[in-house]
Amino acid sequence: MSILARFALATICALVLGAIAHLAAILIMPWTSERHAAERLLMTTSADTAQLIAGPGVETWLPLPDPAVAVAACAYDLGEGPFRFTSRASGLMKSVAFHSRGSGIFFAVTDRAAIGGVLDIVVMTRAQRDLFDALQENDEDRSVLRVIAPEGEGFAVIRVLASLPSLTQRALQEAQDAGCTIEPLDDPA
Amino acid sequence: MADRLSLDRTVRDHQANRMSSRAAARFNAAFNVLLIVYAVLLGLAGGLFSALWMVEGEYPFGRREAQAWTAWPDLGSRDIDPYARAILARNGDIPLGIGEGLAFHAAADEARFPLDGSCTYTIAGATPPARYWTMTLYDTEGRHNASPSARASTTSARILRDEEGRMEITLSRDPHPGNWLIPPASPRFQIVFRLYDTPVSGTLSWVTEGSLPTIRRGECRS
Repeated sequence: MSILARFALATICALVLGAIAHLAAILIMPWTSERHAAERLLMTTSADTAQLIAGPGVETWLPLPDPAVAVAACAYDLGEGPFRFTSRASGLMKSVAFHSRGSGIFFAVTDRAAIGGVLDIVVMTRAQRDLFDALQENDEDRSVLRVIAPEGEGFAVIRVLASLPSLTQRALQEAQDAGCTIEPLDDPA
Repeated sequence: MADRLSLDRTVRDHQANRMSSRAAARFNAAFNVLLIVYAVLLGLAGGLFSALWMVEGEYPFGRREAQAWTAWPDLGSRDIDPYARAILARNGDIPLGIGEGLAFHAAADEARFPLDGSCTYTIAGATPPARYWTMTLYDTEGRHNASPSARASTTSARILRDEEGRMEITLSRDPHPGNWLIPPASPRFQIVFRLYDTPVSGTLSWVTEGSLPTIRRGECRS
């Protein structure tokens, strides 16, 4: 094979390798970037309430924060049991979204989904859901929204809108009051 | 004697040929190693740099435009593409989910001229159905002046409307009656118009022409 042909072959190999490296870098970035919101929120995993990350007068790392919205978040790890997120519907516009690194936002609702004045959402793995179904025997509490998480780890974000400046403190407080708890399933086995 | 000389010449030629073929083999081996190094370095460097370049800019896919506004609705759904996921991982943003709302961005006016802080703009017209909306001004670096005196944001609850329910917001460095916002001090700026709890964020519908506020440029300071 001539020198030119070998050089051309090496260049083709470089392009193929480059495409593989490009795709691999894009795909693993959500798991390796230290600037990822999930990475920044890791310290909130053990907290029982959401931690304020943005809002009127709050220093934040979020790009383009909405100054009228209080944002609080908590990370979860479903390894020890389902994650329960609760927030009281108070009349202020609230929304809750659940994020995972690999799937992005897998569930989001506003306070219109609140039942009995409370947004009560339980995030669980498919295996935990199966176990939960086996334990409940048709006694399932209908006021709780149950969501299957695509991954074992993720984070929940609550946004509370202060549509008027006088509602700012209330919005900040209600965002921080959202409950984030791990509730292990009682497996009789 | 002649036979002896001929034999010596043959032996020398043979030795020379063997040396030249050894040199050629060594050159080939070295060249192959060089080519492998070249291919690996070029491939890895090209792949990694192109990946970093792709995630430094704006979201490459899923862009939806309406009038002067741009939105990326897929960011808030499970249909998010790997590039958008990588960009979010790099910039740390937490986008609005489809069930929460939708953010529209504008960095240019209706005539596609970049938003200029020394000009006066009128944002007017209808707003899509939503429980609330907010409008916020940022400089090109994404900074927002949250001070109330900076007048850099407003919400649907604070806006004054005419008899037909239409609103008009003036963006100007000079005071204006009615709904008045002040552009950032930077030469260029951007607007983010967020709809909260809106059917627009559902994937089945999209805003039609004229259903978002128009951004029209007025006079500019020289």
